Formats: sequence, C-alpha cells, structure tokens
Amino acid sequence: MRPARTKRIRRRRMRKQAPVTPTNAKSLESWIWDAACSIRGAKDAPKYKDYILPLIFTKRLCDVFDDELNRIAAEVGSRRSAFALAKADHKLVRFYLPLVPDDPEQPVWSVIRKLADRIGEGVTTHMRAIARENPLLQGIIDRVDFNATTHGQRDLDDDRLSNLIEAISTKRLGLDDVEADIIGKSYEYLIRKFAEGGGQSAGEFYTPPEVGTIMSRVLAPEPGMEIYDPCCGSGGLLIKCEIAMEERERGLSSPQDQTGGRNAPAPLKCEIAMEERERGLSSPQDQTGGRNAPAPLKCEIAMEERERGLSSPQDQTGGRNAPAPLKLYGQEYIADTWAMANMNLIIHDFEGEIEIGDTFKHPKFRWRGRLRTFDRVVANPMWNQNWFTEADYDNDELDRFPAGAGFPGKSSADWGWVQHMHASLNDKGRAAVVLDTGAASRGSGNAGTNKEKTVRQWFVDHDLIESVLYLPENLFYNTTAPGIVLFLNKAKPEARRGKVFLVNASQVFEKGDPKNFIPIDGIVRIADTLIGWKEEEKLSRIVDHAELARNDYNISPSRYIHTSDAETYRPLAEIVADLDAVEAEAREADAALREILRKIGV
Amino acid sequence: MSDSNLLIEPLPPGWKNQRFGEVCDRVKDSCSPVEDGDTPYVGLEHLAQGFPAFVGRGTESDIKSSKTAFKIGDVLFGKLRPYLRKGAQADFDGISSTDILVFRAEDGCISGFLKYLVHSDEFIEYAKSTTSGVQHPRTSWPSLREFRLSLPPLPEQKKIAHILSTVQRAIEAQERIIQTTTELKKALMHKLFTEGLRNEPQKQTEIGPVPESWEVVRCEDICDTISVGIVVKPSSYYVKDGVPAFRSQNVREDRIQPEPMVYISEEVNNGPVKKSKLSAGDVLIVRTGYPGTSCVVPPEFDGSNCIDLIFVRPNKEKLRSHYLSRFFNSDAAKVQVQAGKIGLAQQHFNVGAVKNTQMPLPPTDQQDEIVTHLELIDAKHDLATSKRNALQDLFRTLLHELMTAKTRVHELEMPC
Repeated sequence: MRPARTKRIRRRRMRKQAPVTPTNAKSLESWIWDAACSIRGAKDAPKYKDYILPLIFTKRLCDVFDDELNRIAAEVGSRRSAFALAKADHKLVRFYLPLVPDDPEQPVWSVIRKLADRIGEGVTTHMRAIARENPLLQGIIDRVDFNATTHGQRDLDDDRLSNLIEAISTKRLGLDDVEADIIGKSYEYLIRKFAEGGGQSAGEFYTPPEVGTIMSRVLAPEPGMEIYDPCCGSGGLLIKCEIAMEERERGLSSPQDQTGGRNAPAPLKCEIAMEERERGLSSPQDQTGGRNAPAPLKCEIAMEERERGLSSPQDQTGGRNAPAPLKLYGQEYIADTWAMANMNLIIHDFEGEIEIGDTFKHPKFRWRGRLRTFDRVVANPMWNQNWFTEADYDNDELDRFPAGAGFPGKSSADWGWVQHMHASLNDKGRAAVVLDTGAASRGSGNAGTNKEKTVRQWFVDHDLIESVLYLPENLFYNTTAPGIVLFLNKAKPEARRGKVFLVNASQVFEKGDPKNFIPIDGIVRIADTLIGWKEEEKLSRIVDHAELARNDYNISPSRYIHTSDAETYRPLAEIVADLDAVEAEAREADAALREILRKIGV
Repeated sequence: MSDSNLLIEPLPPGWKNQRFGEVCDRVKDSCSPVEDGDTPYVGLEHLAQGFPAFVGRGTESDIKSSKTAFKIGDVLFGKLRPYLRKGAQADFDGISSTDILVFRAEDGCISGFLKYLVHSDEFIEYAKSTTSGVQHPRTSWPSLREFRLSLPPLPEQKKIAHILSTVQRAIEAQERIIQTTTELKKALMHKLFTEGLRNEPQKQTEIGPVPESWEVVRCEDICDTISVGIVVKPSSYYVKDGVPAFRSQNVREDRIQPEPMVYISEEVNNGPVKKSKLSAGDVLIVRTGYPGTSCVVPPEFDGSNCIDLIFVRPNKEKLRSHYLSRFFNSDAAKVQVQAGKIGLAQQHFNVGAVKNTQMPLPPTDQQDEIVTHLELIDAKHDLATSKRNALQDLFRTLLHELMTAKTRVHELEMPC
C-alpha cells in the first residue's frame, strides 16, 4: 500500500526541502536545477533557458533511445546490430537519433559528452541531425545555435557549455530511471524556476501550477476529450488537464487509489513533484502496478507487441489502467515558448499538437473554413493587451465577435480573448480563462456606455458565465495583481441558469518567496467549492442575474463577498477594562517620574 | 573619522575616561539556526527607532544563515544605518541578525546604563561618522570600540539608568493608552453604526444590522453634490499665495493636515475650476493612496478648492457633514470602498463608487450624538499623544544632561 497520504502533504514547496533519501540523494528537481546553475549560477540560469531546456530534453531522448536499443539488442544479440536495425527501420523506436558512438556499448549521449573542441558547433550539428530524422522535433530542438556569437563573442562559450553537458550527464533519464510524469514534472519545475528568475517576461510562458490545477479540476475533462489553449505558453495548462483527468480516472478505477487517495484529507498530488518522487521511491507497488509500469512509451509497447504478439499479460495490465488520453491543442505566438511547449508535451509523453502564430489574428485550428471547436478551453492570455484595434475585430471572418458584444475597446483585449474562446467551444463546451481582475469590474458604475462592460453584459445575458474565481495576490510571476479565473459553460445545468457563482479566494494562500502559493488543501477547497457551487461565508456566493444587473454587470467576486476580518472586535467592556489598567499604570509611572524630577530639582 | 566623543571636561570625581571597548565587549557567539527551532530571533526590523525598546520578534525558523547568539541583559545595537538609533537591552536569550552588534557590559559597567549610552547623541554621531558603504552604510565594532567616553562610577550609572527607565516607563504607558484608545474607537464605531444609541432592536439590511428606526441610503440619494476636484493638470494653476487647494495629503481621518498646502489664484478659483469650489461643511474623500479617508472642510477654509479629491455636499436637512465623514472613516465603509476601488498599484476610488456607497442613516439628533461620542475619544487619543511627545522630549534632554554630567545625581537617594 501507499504510505499514508497525510505524510506527503507539504505545506512548503519542495525547493525548501532537503533531499530525503540518501541513495538517490538528490531529487530529480534539484539535480536538474543544479545542472541549470552550472552555466553561471542560479542568478543567470534563466537567461540561458533556451540552451538548457533543449539539452535536458536531448538527454532524455538519448537515454530513452539507449533503453530501446538495449531491448532490441537483447533480442538480436548485440548493440551494434541494434543500431543497424534501428537505422534501417526508424519505426522500431519512438525517436530515431542519428548518434552512433564509436563503441556501440557506450551510451548514445556519449557522442555529445565526448565533444572536445568546437563543442558549440558539434552540439548544434547533432541537434540539427536529430531534427532532420524526426519531423516532429523540427524547429524545436534545432532552433538554438549553441555556437551563436554576439559581436564576436560566444554567447555561451565552450567551457561553460561543457560544464553544462557534464552536469546533465550525471544522471540517467532513461525509462528505467524515471517515469515519464516524473521527468515531466521536473521539467515543469525547471520552467517554474526560470519563471521565478525571469521577472517580467516570465508570465508569458508560465501560469502558477495551483491555478492550472484548479482550472483543470473544475473543467473535469473526460477521457478522449479535445482540449484547446489558444495562448498555451509552455503548455502547462494543457498538461494540468491531462493530469487531472488521469488522476480522476485512476481514482475511480483503482480501489487502491480510492482508499489511499480519495478519502485522505488532501487527495491531490498535483504539482508537488517531490511527493510524486517520494511515492515513486517508497512504494514499489506503484511503480510496477501503476499505469506507467516503468513508463512504457507508446513505441515501446508497439515494439513489444510486434515482438511478442498481443498476448503479453504484463502489457495488458500496463495498458488497461490507462484511460484514453486527452487530445491537447495549443497555439503560441512566441517561437521559443512554442518550442518549450512542444518539448514539455513530448517529455510528459502526452499527445498534442502545438501550432505557432498569432491566435488572435490568425487562429490555426480551423475546420471547413470555420473555427474548430473543442470540448474544453483553458487559457491565460496576456492581460490587457492594447494593440488590437476595432479593425482587427471587424476584419474577423470567423464569427468570433458577435453583434451586440463585439469590440471590447482598444485598451484591453481581455474580453476579446474570451470571445475567441467562446467561439472555440462546441455546444457542450466549457472554458476556464485567467484574466486581470479589472476585466470583471471595469466600466461598471460609470455613467454612460462602456464597450468592455457591454461585452461582459452580453456574456451574462446569454447565461454563459458559470462562475468567477478571485485569486489571492502575488501569485503570478510577472505581476503582484491577483487575477481572476472566468469559467464559461455553454450548457449550464438547468438549476444554475440565470445565476453566477462567485468565489473570493483572496485569503486562501500562504506567503512564499518570491511568490505566494495556494497550499494543497486550499486547492482542494477552492476546486470543490467551484464544482459543487457550495456557498460559504466570506468565500462564495450564488448571485442571480438581477443582482448583477443592479451592480451594473460588475462580476468581480470581491464586490459581493467581503473577506475582511476587520469586523471582529473585542467586547467594549474588555477594552475599557484594559484602558483603565493602562491608565492606572500611567498614573503610577507619572508619579514615580514626578518624584525623581523633584529630587533632581526640576 | 569624527572627533565626536563623550569626554567630559573637567572630569567629575570618580568618573573615568575610557574607550567603548573597555566598557563592554562584543559577543561573537555564532549560532546556526535549526529548522523549526523556536529560539527568539531579533532582526533590525524588531528594534524600535530612537528608543531602547523592541517592537516585536521573530523565531528561528524564519531565518537560514548563521547568526549571533545573545543572552539576557546583552545590549543589541543596529549597525546598519546607525542614524536610525536602534538599540535595546534583551530580556531574553535569542539570536540576532548579523546587522546587529551585541554588546556585553564589562565589570565596571552595567547593561542598564550601556543601553542608554548607545542612545546618546555623541555615540550615534560617532557611529554615523564611521560608516562605510553608500547603499548600506554600516558601522563596525573595530570603529565603535575606539569611541571615547567618561564613565561614571557604578552607583551613579545605576541611578542614571533608573531615572531614564522611569521616563521610559511613563512613555510606554502613554503608548499603550494610545493603542487601547485606538482599538476602543474602532470597536465603538462599529457599535454605534450597527446598534445606535437608543438600545433599539436591529433589522437586517444589505450592509448588515442597523437599528430599526434607521434607514439605509445610498450616498447619492442624500447628498446634493458628489463630484471630483481639479484633475486636469492641477500643477499648472499653482501660485505662491492665494486660495488653498486641498490634496490627498491634507486629508487625515476627521481632521485637516494644513501643511504643506498648495494655492491657486482667486481668478482660477472663480474661473476654470469654480466647479470644485468648496463650502464649509463639505466632506472631502481621498481617492488615491488611502481611498476613503475623509474629513470635513472647516469654516476657515470656506471657498477653497481641492485637487483629485472627491467632495460631497450633504443634504443639510438629513445628513450631518461630520457624521458622513465619520462613516467613511469607519471599517463598515472601508469594506465598501475596498470593493469599489480600482487599480492595484495606485489604489483608486471614483465618484461612481461614492455615489453607490450605502450608509446607515439615523435621525440628525442621533448623528450629532454619535459624532460627539467619537470626538471625545479622539480628544483622549490626542491628549495621550501630546503627552507621549512631551515625555519623549524629556527623555532626550535628560539622557543628554545625565550622560554629560550637566545634571549630577550621585548624591540623590534612590530605590535602586
């Protein structure tokens, strides 16, 4: 059995924790972070993220390739033949890497590790060669030039690059070493660390994991559903959806999980990768019996099936527990971030399609000339974009900005994005969008008309808004502003029609450095409140449309739910008694002082 | 290095000229914090400014790197920015920040005296002159131990310490009166705005319970004017002398802070900005910074103007200016202000939000009574404040006089 859940509940994030086990002494996270720091220390690591992420990604590809080769070698006799076989039939492995060490017994990664001079050039050449063989990886791992110079000076000189490669070499990331979701989580962890150091630019690619978890739990995607993120960044929100779905499925299907997880106070394992790792280490049952029984990559299963036929019982147990994965679709504007999202998905071993480009002007996902629709949409678009003009809305050919709502004003495209997402939903679709707090209230209470308020009113009047969540302050990496999450539902249940559920979670957080975070029990509380529409004093309220109208379509939870604790007062009599006491004290002190002053002769 | 010192000429009998390093020693016991430890921790933020006292303390688990361990009786002195005058005597064992020097009195000196010594102007002057670093000026033990002073004999040290700690006690008593009065005021306001004065049954309303005979009204319905002062380039109107124009910093809770005031000309006041010309009895409400803070325009400022403030002219039949101002300063109103303000960096409050603010409204005679009650508490608060200020002056003067032997106390009988 698993160890009791409660043991694994951590109030702090894992980066504050010391490594627990002596054997595998360093957690994968701290190893991966140390590797990143080998370039120029923790302070500058984020600057070099575009070098570090692809290298770690490549290391994973190499080690997995190694494992696959070994398996083939076990069948055919030698690694040398395995190399040859794989070269002849790339389908035998998931990603064929054209890296062949001089001595076939050496790991594939050694090709990169052994580069002695002109390392930058060598690494770049190898990565491009990998990309040539694997169209899926094109533009993802070959986009960085490790040999790049600025004004004749190498951006990342060979010495430091070689340190980085050495640091990365110290740990194997093969199939038997780490499970896909662990390395995936570590990769996410690294992205978060970069976000913490990245300051202003970080919010572009990273949404705090707690927020993603709440969104995905509330949206409750079901196996096989199509999920879309029009501004996907590093893909974190999509990944959260997959994790939430798998967790729920596993929770429902496996009795072990139900006793071990569901009834425990905090059934969320979510982002705290440390926990995950602990479980991986401490419970062998999980590793063998769990879904990812040593993380079977799809190709591996395919290969085994071919080799042994479909009858392998091991395979069936491995396969049976896995629910049909979600189909993840994302679009991202910034090329580096797009590459990050792709690597993130591959390394998590999730299925997805990430497009590149400006979603607002040129959405890539279309079907028969119309906007493609999805079961779920999640997104955290950049807040208050002010560069789209009325013409951009007018020129839209995809019916995203319906009459009566239309243009939300030039100063903030927040509601424009909501309109895009609304248009991307199918008839029963649901969406969760992170927006600036102001998007819920701007324009309300002003005399005269306000474009943004008009759009908001359209959404309320069409009964599309299911709930609004007001987040705690200082959660996001590029701002201290709290932000809200808007939940849309195109098919609200009958009982919820004409009403909106508001949650003010501004007090549900713990102080952290550099950013606040929502503890696990807080995530559960917020998600459960949102799912069940549970009203609770100082946290949540069901508000009907008439009341929203009275407040001029201000839908900010802070307007309706006051969390202030200022209203707790001590009884007057008690205060007065205190006052009497301090005044008596003061009189005594005064008398003593008078006496002394008299003696001094003042 | 400055020649600041505490040498007294001529040296009184029994006093000794010494270096600071002979009077006390620096404690260097290093201590690595244990995770989840609960030893008290003192950082610079826990030392009061200009006064030998603590304003709080942390615990070991807040900190990571190694620190200095101190014992009961040691004197802690902030070496970063010594002009802040941070120094206090510990009455507990604990660990302190590396920006705090820990002094332990040598045989010829008592701690109780040492803690006042480090607050003398001369010592602080000297410490200031020995700092290095521009961003983070710090003094150091090697410099401080060279500070020269005339040290009174032990019995006199004790008497000096006794006198100063008596003044300190009196100051702290006033401080507590101020705090308790503030708390009392808040609680009383809550009671007055929800229960009233007549001990009548309450009714539930949108803004919580209020006495049955009261109404709940929106500001807009009971005020003749709710508008905003000069917002377009106010600085272009400034003149040296003329009609006063209030800004946010002139508005404090229920009182005017007349300095620093800006002025606009009579022509402007009656011309482009005459819309926001104020009358005595108007209520000013802050929009930016501490939104909701409000006060009443006193008669002597009749006809003045205001900048980026909301001004409200109540319907005199139904609403008293001072009651309105008191209400906006109450916690009940603050909750509504919080909800209505926009913008995070610059907390901002607009006219629409004021209009929509809901207020419990008693008959005018009760409004007057409520205001009178609160004014009484304010008076008490102000009295304690001015008393504390006077005592602080006394403390500084006595400290100087006693340390420099201008006032001698060696012959006085004292219970110490």
